[in-house]
Amino acid sequence: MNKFLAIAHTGLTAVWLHPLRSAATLLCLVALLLPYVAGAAVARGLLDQADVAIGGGADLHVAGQRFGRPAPVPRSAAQALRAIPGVTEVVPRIVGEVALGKENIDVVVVGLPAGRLPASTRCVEGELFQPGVPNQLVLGAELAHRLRLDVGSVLPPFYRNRAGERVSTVVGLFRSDLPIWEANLMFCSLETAEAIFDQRELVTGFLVECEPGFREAVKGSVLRLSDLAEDDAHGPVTPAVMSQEDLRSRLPQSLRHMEGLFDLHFVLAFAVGIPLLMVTSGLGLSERRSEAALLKATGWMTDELLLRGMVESLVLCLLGASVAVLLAWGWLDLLNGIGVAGIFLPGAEGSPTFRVPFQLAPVPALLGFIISFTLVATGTLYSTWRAATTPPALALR
Amino acid sequence: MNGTPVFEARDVARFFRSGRGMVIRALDGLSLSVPRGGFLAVTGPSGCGKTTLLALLGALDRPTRGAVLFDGSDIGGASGAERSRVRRRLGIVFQQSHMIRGLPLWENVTYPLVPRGVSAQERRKIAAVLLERVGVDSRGGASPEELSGGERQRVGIARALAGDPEVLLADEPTSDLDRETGEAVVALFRDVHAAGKTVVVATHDPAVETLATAQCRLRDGRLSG
Repeated sequence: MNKFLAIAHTGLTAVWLHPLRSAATLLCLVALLLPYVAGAAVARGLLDQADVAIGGGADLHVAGQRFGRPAPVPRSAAQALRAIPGVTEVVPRIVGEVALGKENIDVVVVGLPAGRLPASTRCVEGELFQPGVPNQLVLGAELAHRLRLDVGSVLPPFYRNRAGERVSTVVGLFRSDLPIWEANLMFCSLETAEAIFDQRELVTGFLVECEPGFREAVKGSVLRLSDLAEDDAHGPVTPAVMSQEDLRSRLPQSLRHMEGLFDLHFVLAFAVGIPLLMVTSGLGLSERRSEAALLKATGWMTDELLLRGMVESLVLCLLGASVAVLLAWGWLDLLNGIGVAGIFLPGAEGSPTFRVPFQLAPVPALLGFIISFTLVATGTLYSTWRAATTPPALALR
Repeated sequence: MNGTPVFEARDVARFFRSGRGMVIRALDGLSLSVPRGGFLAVTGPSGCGKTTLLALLGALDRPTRGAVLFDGSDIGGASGAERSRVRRRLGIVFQQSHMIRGLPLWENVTYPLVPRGVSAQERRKIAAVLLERVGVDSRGGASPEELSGGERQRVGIARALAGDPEVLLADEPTSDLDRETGEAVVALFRDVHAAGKTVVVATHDPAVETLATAQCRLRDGRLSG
C-alpha cells in the first residue's frame, strides 16, 4: 500500500515538474469545461425559478382555444367559471407583447385587476396602478433601467387603436423574487391592457383558485364546458386548463430543449477539443520520454509509470474542474453570466440587466471532470506507455 | 570472488539502422563472461561498442542476435517486467548523468527506491549517506541544475548505489571530470569493489584500468587482443 501511495505521490509532484505541460492542459480543460458548467448552471437556475413561479401561481390557468391554438376569451366567461362548485376566485388576465423604445425591446404586458399583482413581486418605487385610471404602467426595475424610464416618466404613444393614441405614465417600478421577470414584464390594469391591444371585453385567460381538494374536480368541470364565448358569432371558444402539475411538466420542456441543444453544442466543442487535449497532454514529450526512460533504467516497471501518469492526470483534471467551477461561479455571480444567459433566455441581451438565475449543480461538473479525465489520462498514458516500452538505452540517447 | 559468472554474453550482436538506411554493427559476435565480485574494465576507442555492451548487460537494450545472461537467465529475450526486476539488482552510472529537473538531489538519488516501497523518511537518510559518500552531502536539498558536471556525475553514482546493487555498471564515469574529482570517483569504485560488488566500467581512464581484475578491449564491435 505504501508503495502505491509513494508512486501516487510522485504523480502529484510530476504536475509541478512539467509546468508548461500542466499549464497548457489546465488551460484547455478550463476553456472546455467553463462554458459547459456555466450554461448548465443557468439552465438549472431557470428551471428552479420556473418551479417557484408555478408554485406561487393560481391553482388553475384557464384559457380559450380555437383550432387547438390560444384564442381570446370574453371577460364574461368568468361568471361561468365562478359558478363551478369548488371555485373560490376567478381573476381575468391579459398577457401580450409589445415592443418599446428605440431598440424595440420586447416587453410582456400583463393586465390584471388592480391589487392582483403576483405575491412574489413588490413595488420598490412609486405605487401600483389605480383602478379606473387608464394608461398607468408598473415596470420591472431592470426593464425600466434598459428603457431609461423612471417613476413619473411619460411614454409617448406606443400603440394606436380605434380610440386614437394615448400617452402612458410609469407610476411604479417592481422587483421580484424571480429576477428574470424584472427584465421584460410590465403590469397594468385590465382596462389599460384592453386598450393597448384594442380587444374590448376580451382577456387571454383566467387565474382560477379552488377550495382545497377541489382542483381536479374543477379542472374536469371547466373542460366539460362546451364554450367559453357564448355570444361569439364565429363559433365556440373551447376551454384549455393547465393545473400547476401540468405547468410543471410542460414549462421546463422548453428549457430542457435549450439545455439539450446547449449540451449538443458542448459535445461538438468537446469533439474539437479532444485532439487539443491529447496534444497538450503529450506536451514536453521528449522530456517525458527521457524521464520515463531514466525511471525504467533505474528499475521502475511500466505499470508503475502508468500509475504515476494516471495520478498526474487525475490531479490535473481535479484542478481543471475546480478552476472551471470557480470561474463559472465568478462568471455567473460577479459578471452576471455575460454571454451565456442569452442562450437560454431568448431576447436576453449578451450583458443582461436582470439578475441571471443559476445553480451550480454537481452532476455537470462531475460529468465534465470524468470526460476530461478520460481524455487527459488517454493522452498521458499513451505517451507514457510509448516511452516506457521503448528500450531505455534508445530513449535516453 | 568466486567463478560463477554474473554476466555472460554469447555471440552477441547489436545492429542499428542509421538515418540513411545503413546498418551500423555496434557489436558483432561478442562473447564474454563477468565473474561475480569481479571488476571488468571495458576499453577501446570511441565508437567501438562500449556503451552498447553496457546497455545490453544492464538490460537497457536487447541484442539483435545472441544471448545476454544475468545470473544464468537470458535477459535479452525476457519480458519487460523481468528486465525491470533485473535492473533493480543493478546500479547504472550513465555517461551523461541524466537527472530529473526540478527534483531535489535527495529525491533524484533515491527515486529508484520509490516503487520498492521505501518510505520518504528512509530515502532521505539513504540519500544523505550516499551524497556524503560522493562528496556532495551539503547540497542534498539543491536541484540538479545548480550542480557542476562533476558534481552531477557523482550524484549519478550515488543514485546507482541507492538500491544497494549487486553489480555496478558505469559508462565512462570519469571522462568529464577534473583530475581530483576523477580520483575521488576511482576511489569510490575501488571501495564498492572492495565491498564485494561486481563492477563493470567502460573507460578510457588508465586509473580505472589499473583497478580492474579483468579487461575487455573492443575494436569495431568485437573483442580485440
